[in-house]
Amino acid sequence: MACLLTLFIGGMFTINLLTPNKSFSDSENRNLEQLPAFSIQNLFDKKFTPKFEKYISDQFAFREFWISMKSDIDRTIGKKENNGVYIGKNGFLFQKFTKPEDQDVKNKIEAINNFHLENPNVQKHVMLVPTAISILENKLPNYVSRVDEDTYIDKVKKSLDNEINFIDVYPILSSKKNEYIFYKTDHHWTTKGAYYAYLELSKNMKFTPIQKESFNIKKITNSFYGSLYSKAGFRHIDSDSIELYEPKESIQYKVEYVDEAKTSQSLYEMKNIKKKDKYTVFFNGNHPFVKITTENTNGKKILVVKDSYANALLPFLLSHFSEIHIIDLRYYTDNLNMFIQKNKIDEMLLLYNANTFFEDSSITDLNDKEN
Amino acid sequence: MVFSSLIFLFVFLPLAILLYYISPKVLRNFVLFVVSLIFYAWGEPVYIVIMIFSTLFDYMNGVLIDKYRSHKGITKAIFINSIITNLVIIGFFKYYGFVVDNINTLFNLNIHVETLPLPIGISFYTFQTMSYVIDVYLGKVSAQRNIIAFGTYVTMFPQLVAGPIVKYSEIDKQLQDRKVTLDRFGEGMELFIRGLALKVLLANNIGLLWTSVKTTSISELTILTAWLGIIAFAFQIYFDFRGYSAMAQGLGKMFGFDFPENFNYPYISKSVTEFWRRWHISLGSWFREYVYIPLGGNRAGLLKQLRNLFIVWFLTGLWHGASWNFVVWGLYFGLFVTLEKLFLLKWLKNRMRIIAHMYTLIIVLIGWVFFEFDNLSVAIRYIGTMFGFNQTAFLDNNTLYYLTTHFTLFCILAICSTPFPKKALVYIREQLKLPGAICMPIFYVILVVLSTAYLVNDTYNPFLYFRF
Repeated sequence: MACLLTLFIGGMFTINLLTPNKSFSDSENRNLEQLPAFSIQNLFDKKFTPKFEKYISDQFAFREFWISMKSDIDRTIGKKENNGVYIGKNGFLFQKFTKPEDQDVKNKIEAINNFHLENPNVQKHVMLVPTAISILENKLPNYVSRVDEDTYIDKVKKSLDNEINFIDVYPILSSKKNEYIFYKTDHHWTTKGAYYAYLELSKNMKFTPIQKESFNIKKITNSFYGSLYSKAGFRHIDSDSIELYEPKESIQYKVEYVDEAKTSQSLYEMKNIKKKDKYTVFFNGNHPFVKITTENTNGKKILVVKDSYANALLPFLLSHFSEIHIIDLRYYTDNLNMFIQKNKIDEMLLLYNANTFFEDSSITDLNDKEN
Repeated sequence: MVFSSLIFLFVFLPLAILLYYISPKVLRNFVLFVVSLIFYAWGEPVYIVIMIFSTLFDYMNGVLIDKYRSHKGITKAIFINSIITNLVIIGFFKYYGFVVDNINTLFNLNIHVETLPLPIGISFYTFQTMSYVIDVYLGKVSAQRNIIAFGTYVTMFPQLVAGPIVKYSEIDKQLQDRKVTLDRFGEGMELFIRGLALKVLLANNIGLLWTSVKTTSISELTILTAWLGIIAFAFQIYFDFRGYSAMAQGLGKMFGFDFPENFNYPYISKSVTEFWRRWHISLGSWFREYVYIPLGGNRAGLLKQLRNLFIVWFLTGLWHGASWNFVVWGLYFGLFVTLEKLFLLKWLKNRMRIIAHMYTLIIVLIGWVFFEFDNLSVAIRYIGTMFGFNQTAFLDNNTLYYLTTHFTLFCILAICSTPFPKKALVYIREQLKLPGAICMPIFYVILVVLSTAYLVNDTYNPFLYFRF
């Protein structure tokens, strides 16, 4: 009997010795620890031993197999969450909503309202998108409350200045909750979900939206395992597919990644289909400032201050504007007021998903006085 | 290094066992000693000097006491010097900050102090060296002349970091002469794996529930959630500590040592007195033998007995941590032990077992609240919530969520808190000859495989790019 165990432990020991080191983990999206350099100083600083332990763990043979075994056992005994992510019905993953501090929420609302006072001639729209946890209530694990996110979005809606137009996408998304509007394994909405929000947006911005029939809907991948899949560690769940909505009447445009001095003829970075984070097909991820110029002659300009949710919705705006300026406050460091004046912006959309809005503090940079 | 880690299980332990068993018998203590130093240095590359000092110092004291045994005055001086030095060492590293904080509060001062990090295992090895010096002084054992053997006693990695506290007299003979048969080695391995499974599969898991409840603001806890939370903690600390003790015992066995049992199904106890005979047995035993009995125990009249009980429980609490809530925890149990000694035990004996059992569990659970919250007023509020004093509902959706997602786990935990699984294992092994012989190894391999899976997962650390 001791033999069997000795065999197992001895076996793992030898296998670990013999298998080559891996450098990157796809599922964890990070570099794996390599053999650390030894020095007496490192040892005394307590740096060497933790690194060595990390090295042993990171390079442990069959790591993926062990992780999936653990997650399967967890699910068998009834566990419904791991690492801040719920697993609901049909393998649907939901990011937990963390209640923000009331003072933080106040600060953010104030930042937006102050920004409005400083730029009174810009028509402002705010879209705070509820995430899957609020919309897909029928897929949540039992007894998980979805009310929190709603309450906070409502707080923002009620406290914004009257002249700011709050676009409430909850009704339309909720009415489509049985459709594939959120990814199962990622925290973003699907292109379809973004499309429905686009319909709501068009009502508010008073243009005629392009109907679904006028799009070629292309499925570009079936094997998207998104951010929540990595975060939660649950395995043996279905992957997602990503669709692109290409208007049948195509429109020419130019995309400038201003800070990187690059231009492109396409909003999509198709190479990223081969990467792990396939959502970056849209705009190749997040940038401080992107400018899109279209062949549209209506002269309408819009500034979009956003997080990554907007990436799936922006393609729909091409047909309606001549210039689309896209700014991500997490990376953009210049003064927005000056930007608006210089570019003569008269319409603006603030587009965030509720989670990022309440967790990320960059929205307060709207009031950044530095140049 | 902790036992429940991939590096220990799959690198250190196989190498240690290999080295030990290819060495000739005379060298085995030495090998164990060196390997243990490496084990300790792995986690404490600098503070290992304290442990080495402690070892050399008390080795010298033992030899000197033996040498000057006829001169009572000299031996007494050596003895007192040793005890004081040991207490100063542990006092300095563990309680310095605590003492200064209290002085600050009492005298309204503001002495700033840099608290030193606590050297691993200091509470365990200083208690062991002290027990050695006391036993030599009292003539219970003769001094260990072989520095390697003594060093092995103090630093042996199986019980160095988290006990059980092994008194020198319990292990004296085994240092010189121990036999390991394949059977015993196998037994040790099984014990080790059971301990590993208890810690990694049970304790770590239910601990997540307690973490979740503990970080919720108390005003949002329903009555049932508060109970679920503290019950989760009660299971966590039991299986964590018991698991670790079992691993220590199992490892000891694999090297030929028999360590005393540290836990004996404490949660089936029918009185608080019984609980403390089943919980952290080696600590209770140390305090009884080296503090309670020398002070007179219960042989010097009621008043003295109460005083002795007070001192022992005060120290027991304080040993667990440099903070007043631990002292409160200790004295709280001291109070119930005293009440039971005075009249409660008699009363309980005449009641149905289930009432005695419920009473014990409730007292113990309330005790855990004091153990877990540094801030006494927070602890009291939590207890208030448990008994409905804070106007919260009995349950809510959150409560149901915790209950439904942890139901199976709670059942497993409850069963494993009783002697039933052990009895089942013994039955299978002894009564079901051939099928038993096949099931057992498979069972243990499954435990190891599952434990490995959970250990690998502990290091799962995805980079959450969507934050950036």
